[in-house]
Amino acid sequence: MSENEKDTKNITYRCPCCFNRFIDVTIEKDKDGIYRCLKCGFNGTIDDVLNAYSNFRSRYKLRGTRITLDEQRRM
Amino acid sequence: MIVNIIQRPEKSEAYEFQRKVSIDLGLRVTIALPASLIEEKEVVDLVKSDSEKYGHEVMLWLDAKGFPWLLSREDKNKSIKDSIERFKTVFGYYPKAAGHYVLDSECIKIIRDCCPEIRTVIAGCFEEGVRVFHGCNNSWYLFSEGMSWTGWYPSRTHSLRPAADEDDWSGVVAVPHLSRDLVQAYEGRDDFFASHMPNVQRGLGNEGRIHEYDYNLIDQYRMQDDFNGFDSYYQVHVSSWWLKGCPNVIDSDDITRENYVETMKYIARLCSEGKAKGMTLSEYGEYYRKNIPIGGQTVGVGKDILYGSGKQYFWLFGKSFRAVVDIFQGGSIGDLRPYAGRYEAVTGLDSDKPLMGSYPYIIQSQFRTGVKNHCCDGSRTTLIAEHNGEKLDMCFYPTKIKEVFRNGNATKLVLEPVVMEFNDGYRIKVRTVYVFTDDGIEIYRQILERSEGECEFCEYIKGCYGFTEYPEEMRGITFGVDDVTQEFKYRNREVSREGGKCAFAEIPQVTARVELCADDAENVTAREGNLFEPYYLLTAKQKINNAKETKVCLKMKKIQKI
Repeated sequence: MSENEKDTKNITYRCPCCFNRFIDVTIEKDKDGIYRCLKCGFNGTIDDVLNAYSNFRSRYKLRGTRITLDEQRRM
Repeated sequence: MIVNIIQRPEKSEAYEFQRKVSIDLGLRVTIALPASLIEEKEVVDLVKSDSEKYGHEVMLWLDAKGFPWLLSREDKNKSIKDSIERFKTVFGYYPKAAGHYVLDSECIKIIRDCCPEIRTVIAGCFEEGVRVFHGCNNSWYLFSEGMSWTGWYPSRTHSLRPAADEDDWSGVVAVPHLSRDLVQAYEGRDDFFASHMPNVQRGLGNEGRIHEYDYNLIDQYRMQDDFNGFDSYYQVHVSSWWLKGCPNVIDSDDITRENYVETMKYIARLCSEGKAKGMTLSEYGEYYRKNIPIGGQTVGVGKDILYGSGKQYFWLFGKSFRAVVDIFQGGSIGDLRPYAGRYEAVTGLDSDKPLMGSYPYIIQSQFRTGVKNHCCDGSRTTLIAEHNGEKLDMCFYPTKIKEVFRNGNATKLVLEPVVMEFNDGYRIKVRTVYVFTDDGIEIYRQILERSEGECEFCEYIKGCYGFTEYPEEMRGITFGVDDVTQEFKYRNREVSREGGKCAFAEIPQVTARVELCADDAENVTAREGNLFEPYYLLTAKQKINNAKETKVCLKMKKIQKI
């Protein structure tokens, strides 16, 4: 879990499998500490969820790259 | 570029934060006062004081009875009129701007009839529809596709269609509720990829405090100035709900607020350096009226700033059509909205399509298959080059935008050439040039180099019509070549004519006729599909011989409804 995601606010987590297809499906933790999706077979711990989010981000290869106006003109 | 910051007031610490950010940065904003809060004295007093002190504009957010475009005609009338009159009572003047996520033409007419002072409206969510519906777990019933990504003059009969002329105009300037990424708006759910920093976080487009995309998107809109003879428009509209404890955002509130502030600082810096101009909503409406003629064209160029795919899209928004050219797919047309048909629709309880605010397409390659991948292909355009029995499809030849020229009410798009190489070594180097006019789309294929030998070009337009990803009833459509006409019956029949001039399909369901015209074609055909391939196909075959260039024209016209 990254430092950013340790906040204590009431976050609604989304099923990472559904979110992989850009679909928001909220998931809640069961009594045994496992998150289970009502719409697909995903089940996992909070670390599984957050790791999946991290993997999700990897599709955005330019997420950390500043592309200025001039650079966009040249793209 | 012109920037407008919209804030929706409420009694909350998050709004206080947001309000203070704009004040500290010296940004004038448009305060969208919700009609539902107009009796809240504390909120209204603060709005009044901010308006006087900082020159903010107060506009009316038409939420008195929920989403105004989905109400019955009677409720639209009552809630809009009541809200405007209450505004007048509280502020002592009529608002100059109003809006909601979407306004249909009926809402706009009511606004204009009861309050001519309103000159600018927020009236649509650019390309928010099918993908956002699915993305929100099939629960966000807002369909607003086929519209402008920037300002437009809404017509009287469909709020998303731009007016063709003064008589056709509803009387207001409209803007979309957010500025959205001109690549992601075509490829995916664009609510994540917008001038809305917490929504970028919701789409995991940031990594904590690293949020370069927010800046990159602003610069994507700055770049649009290069292609139009007027300023582009960027609108930030983040309600304060997103800035405190928002469950949709996985980052802490500190990060959310810091990303928000940094992005606003960037906008303030652009304004202070003269690289952007801050305007309120009604000021932008005035600017638009003075600088942009009714019936003119607007160009949008989207270059991928998130995935690193190198893809580009070209958008053309004009009075006769809106076209999206998919530059990566050989410069084919991936989305086409036939505004020339002047399809009429309102939303709300009295409509026969009560939810459907989108302007219908006749080509949509994302929703309707596009290039073949596991069964037949779907709606798209392409060039098929044939040599020695082998066919090559230009959709598989990615290219780039070389140049964009504007000349009055015509726009020329020149693409980088592609080289198509056949199995026997025959090569042909082709450059595609589009000329977009009020009459249609001229498609030129310039042959820059080629090997010795015969080659034939087939211009290929596979169309349908629709509002979502699902096929609609195609019976009622007629298709044919020149004066030969057939009724669409899903029976794979074809009309073909040697030396024909014009293949066409008439789609009364969306009051549009589409034509593929070629003066020097060897053969022109129109074909119907079947229930498993519910499309019409128009083709024009041209032998290359010694030609340096081929030309076809894609035209759209109005026809009567069934």
